[in-house]
Amino acid sequence: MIRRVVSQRGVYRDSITLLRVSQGVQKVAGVRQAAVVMATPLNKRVLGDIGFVGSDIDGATPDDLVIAVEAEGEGPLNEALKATEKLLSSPAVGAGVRRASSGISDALSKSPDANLAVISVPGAYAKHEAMVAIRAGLNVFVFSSDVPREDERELKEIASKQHLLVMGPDCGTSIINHVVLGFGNAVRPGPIGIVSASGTGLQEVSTLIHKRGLGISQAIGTGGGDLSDTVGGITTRQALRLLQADTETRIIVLISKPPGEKTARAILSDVRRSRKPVIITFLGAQFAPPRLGKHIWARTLGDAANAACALASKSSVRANASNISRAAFAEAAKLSRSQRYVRGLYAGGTLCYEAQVVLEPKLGPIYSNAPLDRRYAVEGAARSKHHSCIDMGAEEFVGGRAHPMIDFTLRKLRIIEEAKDPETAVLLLDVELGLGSNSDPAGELAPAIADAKALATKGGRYLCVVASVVGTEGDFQGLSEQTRRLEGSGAVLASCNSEAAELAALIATRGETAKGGGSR
Amino acid sequence: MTRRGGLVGKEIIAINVGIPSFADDLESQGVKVQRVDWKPPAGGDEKMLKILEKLGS
Amino acid sequence: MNRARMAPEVWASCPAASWIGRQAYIRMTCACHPVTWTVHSSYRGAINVQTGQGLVCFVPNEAGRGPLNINVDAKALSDAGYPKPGTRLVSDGGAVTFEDGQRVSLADSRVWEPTGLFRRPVLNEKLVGRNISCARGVAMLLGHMAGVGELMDMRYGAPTANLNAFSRAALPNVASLCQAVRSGDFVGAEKATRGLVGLGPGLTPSADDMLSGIMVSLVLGSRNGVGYEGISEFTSRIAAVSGSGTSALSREFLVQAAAGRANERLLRLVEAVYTGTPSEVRDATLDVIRIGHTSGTDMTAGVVLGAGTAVTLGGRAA
Repeated sequence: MIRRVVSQRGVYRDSITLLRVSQGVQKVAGVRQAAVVMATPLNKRVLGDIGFVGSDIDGATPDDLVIAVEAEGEGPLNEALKATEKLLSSPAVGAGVRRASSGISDALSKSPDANLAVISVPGAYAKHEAMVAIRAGLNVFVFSSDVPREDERELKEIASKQHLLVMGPDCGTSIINHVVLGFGNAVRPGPIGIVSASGTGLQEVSTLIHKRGLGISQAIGTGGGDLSDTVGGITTRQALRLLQADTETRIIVLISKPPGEKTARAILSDVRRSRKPVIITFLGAQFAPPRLGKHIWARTLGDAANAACALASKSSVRANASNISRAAFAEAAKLSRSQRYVRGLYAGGTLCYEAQVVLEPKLGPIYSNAPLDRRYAVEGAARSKHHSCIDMGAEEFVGGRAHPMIDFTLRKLRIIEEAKDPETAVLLLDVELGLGSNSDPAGELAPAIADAKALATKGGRYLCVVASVVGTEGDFQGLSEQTRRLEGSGAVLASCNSEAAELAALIATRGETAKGGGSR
Repeated sequence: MTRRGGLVGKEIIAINVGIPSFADDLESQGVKVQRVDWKPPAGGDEKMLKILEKLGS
Repeated sequence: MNRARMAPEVWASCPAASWIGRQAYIRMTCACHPVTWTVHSSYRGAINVQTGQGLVCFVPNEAGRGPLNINVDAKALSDAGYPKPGTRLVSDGGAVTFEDGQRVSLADSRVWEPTGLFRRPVLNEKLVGRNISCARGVAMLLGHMAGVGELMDMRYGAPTANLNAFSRAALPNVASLCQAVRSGDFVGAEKATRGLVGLGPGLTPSADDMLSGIMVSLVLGSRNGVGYEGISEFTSRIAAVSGSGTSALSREFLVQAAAGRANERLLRLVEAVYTGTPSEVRDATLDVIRIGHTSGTDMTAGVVLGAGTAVTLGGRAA
């Protein structure tokens, strides 16, 4: 074991950065322990007690930062110290590191071949920036939300005349030429194209397709407002045309909540004219339209992914024969008499919605702050009643925090609360991996799940937790590791969100919905 | 007008306006990104800048 | 309802300060303008400026108001390392301008100075105890335990094997500090504090944050009839110990805490523990534990210990 201490004068980094530095150093192979602290007399004493001594540390003052590393040899030690330097050095403006531009025009002079502007400024300014970009001939990806629909329409009308794509506003995800824009997962190339008004919907379908061994040609996010009658589906229709012309795309999947009436008619007539088969997923729509011919009407995201894969591999589209019954009965057998409700706690709004689509025919009314049926609207923060699915990404929760795909605080507290309710039978959760999401969702959730289950057990009950993970093994969080740890906490993992909801319904009703439940 | 035209099938060369982590994520996928240090459209104060120039910074 | 709720980090071209803490205001105005100051340090979320009288901290609105804070309506003020420490800024009384021309207007700001008086009467010992348990529960479940915060869960005689090195070093001093406060033993309190100031990880060492929590709970309690009068003398002696034992930045916060002054989130937690419902305590604890990395958890530990000590003293005078 070798120990070394380095000190840095007058280096101030906020605590979260210091944490990242010490975590980063501990991850280096061969490092046994590391400490990153201010060099106060007491800290120096503690470090001395655990074996770090030396002149470097003696001379350091309380305004200096000390990094103490213990490693198996010189090699890992130097690696660790290099990692520290990298983590501490900032991507600062100035000092000649990376001169950023002052505006889009300035950026274009430095990068004249640019073809895409990624815009995430506050909503009030997004239209202006997007307009500048479009007039300069750039496609745009607009993550910002709170842009008025009329402004969105104006942007899209101008852009489409120039054959430029406007993805957004309010667009969280796209995969263009196999590059993820915004949030998103690592999925392989393939013959299936996606057009989606929902970011999480795009993530769910693309990852399911990847898990089945197939791949994505393009996944074009249109933004949440595109299919409103004000905007008229301009980007959606443009994207459909693009995918018709794209040689890599053989099958198209369309994902959204039901469009405005006028827009729906326009989209459906586009679909009917499409040479390539289109799988339409209007989540929550009541009836399939007539005369779809070779096109497919999917009720859930899971169905859409299945149908796409079946078409792509030229096998027949069969209903997903899931053998979840065995898992369901095993879990249901442990429930106590008082437990009967399904409680969904969702980070992804679309997945919350999809869960209701699956649960409602089997269980009856589902209460939600983003309800399928407006009669069952509730405030998200209120105590759960009956069956419910709460979208914890909704405005009322997020406030000053990061979104629940990144900050799990409120969801963890809510999990414990539901565990205390003697009528809760099943908790239903979604977990998102990939760029932009929390770096260790399982690390956050698994302890809360374990605590919740222990709480229920102490009350003479059994809390069942069903979850699904949106991700692939290419995502940096590590799909198999995340899955393993979630299962280790006692959660039952389903292969996709719609299956998770089905499983939850089966368990809560002790298998009764297996006998031909639901007339839809 | 469409000197750049479509995006599909072409190499993406991006300009990032806003949250720096989006630019980081793009660069980690090998995409060239020019960052814009965005400020809302408004002027600075000329008199103050002159005082600073005098201080020789 | 979607993920585009992440607030982007931007400098507005002339952000305006909305609030200035009273102590920051005193430091800003106690000079002949125009005056040149230097940047002491900057990191994500804060720019600390060295005025002639001490530090003031430019922070975004979301960080909450505090005695040394100048809250600015920009989501995050700086990437790490910018503006560089040692660079200068000019204050003309109405605005400050940094070396690169970046300007913060102070013209429309208001001075923040809470009275320290609770809006509702202090609850009885049993109910305060219930609130303390609630705060402890939330913090232990959701807080960060890399520092001494875990000591809030220590029971007398419990095994210490699982404590981290800092907690283990702090434990005897935390115990003797609380004991010294209970018995009015100034010398004992100073000695215990010497064993705590500067201890632990974090930009503000973990034990310092806990001491802040302890001191604010004792001082505000005293001001509202819990504990004993004259506690301020006690706490200012504690803060004086911090002389060379910790960083300049942390010392500033300790001195403020000794006078019962701290970030409004911490003040709200203290008030909730002494006068509020468990639900208010829970919300307030959640807000505090989000501060820094372990800082918030450590402050909560301080409140748990400080308020716990104060209520056992009842309402007697020194």
